[in-house]
Amino acid sequence: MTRLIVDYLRELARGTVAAWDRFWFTAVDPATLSLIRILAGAMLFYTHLVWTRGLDDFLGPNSWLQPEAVRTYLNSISGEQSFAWSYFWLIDSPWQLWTVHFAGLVVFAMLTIGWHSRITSVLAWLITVSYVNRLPGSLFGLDQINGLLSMYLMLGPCGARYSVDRWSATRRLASPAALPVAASVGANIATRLMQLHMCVIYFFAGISKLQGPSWWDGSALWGAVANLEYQSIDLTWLATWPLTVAVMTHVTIAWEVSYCALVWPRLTRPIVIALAIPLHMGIAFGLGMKTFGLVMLIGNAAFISPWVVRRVIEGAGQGGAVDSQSAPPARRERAQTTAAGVAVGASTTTTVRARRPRNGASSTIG
Amino acid sequence: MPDTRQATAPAGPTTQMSPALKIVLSVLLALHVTALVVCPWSIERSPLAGRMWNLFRPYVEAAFLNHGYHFFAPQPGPSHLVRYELELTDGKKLAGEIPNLKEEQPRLLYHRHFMLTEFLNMLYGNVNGDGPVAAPPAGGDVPAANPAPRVDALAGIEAVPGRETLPPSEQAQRFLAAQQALFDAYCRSYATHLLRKYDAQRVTLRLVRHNLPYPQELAERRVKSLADASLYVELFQKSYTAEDL
Repeated sequence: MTRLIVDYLRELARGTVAAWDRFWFTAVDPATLSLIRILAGAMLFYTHLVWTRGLDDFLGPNSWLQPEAVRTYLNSISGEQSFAWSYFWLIDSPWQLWTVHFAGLVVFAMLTIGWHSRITSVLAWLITVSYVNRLPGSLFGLDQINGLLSMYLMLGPCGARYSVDRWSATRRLASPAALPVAASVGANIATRLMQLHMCVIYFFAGISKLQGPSWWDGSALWGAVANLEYQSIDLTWLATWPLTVAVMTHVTIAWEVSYCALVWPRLTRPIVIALAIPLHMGIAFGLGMKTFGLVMLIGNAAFISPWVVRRVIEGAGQGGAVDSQSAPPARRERAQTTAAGVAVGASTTTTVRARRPRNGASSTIG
Repeated sequence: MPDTRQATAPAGPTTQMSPALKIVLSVLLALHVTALVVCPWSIERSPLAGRMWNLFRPYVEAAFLNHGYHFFAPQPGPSHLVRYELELTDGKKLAGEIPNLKEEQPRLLYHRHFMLTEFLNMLYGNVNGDGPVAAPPAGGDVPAANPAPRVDALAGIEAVPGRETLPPSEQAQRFLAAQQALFDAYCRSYATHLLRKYDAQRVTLRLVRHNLPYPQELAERRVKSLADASLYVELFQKSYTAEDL
């Protein structure tokens, strides 16, 4: 009996270490991360561009959010001296404020087009955090997702594809194929962190709702559509459609609570991600929060495999050779097996071993 | 712009990373993911989560990860407005309210103003005891915070009908006093903005709750619209002069 337990624990330890290693330290194509760079960069740019219209009212000397009040708040949630930092505390003149603000916009624009991405991704995170830590009281979910996306973008080669960086590195070559895009552990770690963070968000958003009676009695969505301050489309006709409201309510919470489990298996992932679209588009266009709805979808994009991204953006593999990254898993395995481990494609320079997914719970981005 | 037909990235389950580097990265990743979970977990004031939150506090505050992710939780609730009346230096009066969709465009800027009012209401709720109900109903969120004591009873033991409610502990009283000071600080902040922006002598702030109608009320026309006057309730009012601030 003891031997059985010991064997089990050994196997458990070996399996855990191997799974951990595979989950975090597999090198992947940075296509997904590069796509997220474009989308998140554009969202960061727009978010901060809008501050331009409210710069004096929110960040100027006569701000709604006076520095003493904000510091009191930050220290109160901290319990002592807060570690929330911002370079805006050092700015004391309008010209400094406007200069720093426009410099920030330039950085976000550069990140979006992928120009000096390694540097601009770090700067983008520093800038994003500086704004939000100066502005508690005016923040909402958009800022949280902006923060996490900018944080993880700086961990990987987010400018490896679809970027000015890539274009400038290959423009003197006969063909971009002469300079392959390297698979990257950094891209994997960044994308994995986005995926896990989205799971944490949906899980806690879901279970925190379970404390509210209206999520159980099916009326919660009414509370959203009957809120005039949020409303951008009048859906109050739903007052006479309680069953429809109940279905929407229950589907929403079932989806949120189950997201962190069902988004990983390959079979259920497309359904989970597909359901995110109407849910977040509903928030975007029904509740007047287009930015929040869209940024949540950008976060969900972390679950899109690089081969899908490349297939959509580049049309890779369409009727041509199947390579290791631009084919869906089933075709990829077949191709790799028949090629005896040698990746097919004129540009490929390394050998790729076929890896059979385990129990459907395969690598989500590989 | 970049050629879209780019070279294929080699992929592989194995990497050349040294075991030592993998161990260091693994520890950092595990700590980071734990921090992500501890923040929303600590919202409900579990003493264990509170202690863990204290451990991660420097990191999550510095990295802006200190969030509860309580979107639309515990349930979508009423929204809140701040109405103000200004007495200008030339004796004229000016009234307004935030958020104001006509004046605050694009929509994101309107939403920033909306969050100002929801935030003030959250602070008001912390002082007046309707905490979670008063939390921002949607995109707004409750930050993870230094675990606050329950005000109505001992930690974790809710007041039960028929059983005497314990008086607030000393710790709870300190918490309430701090929340009151915070609420006052934000009211003064909003008043300062308005007084300076409009060069006014006096401003009166009103925090107004905009209740949601029941579906039946709307369907049976007992409430004419979402903007029906009967749905607005004033929660708080205070005046400030330029000298006060």
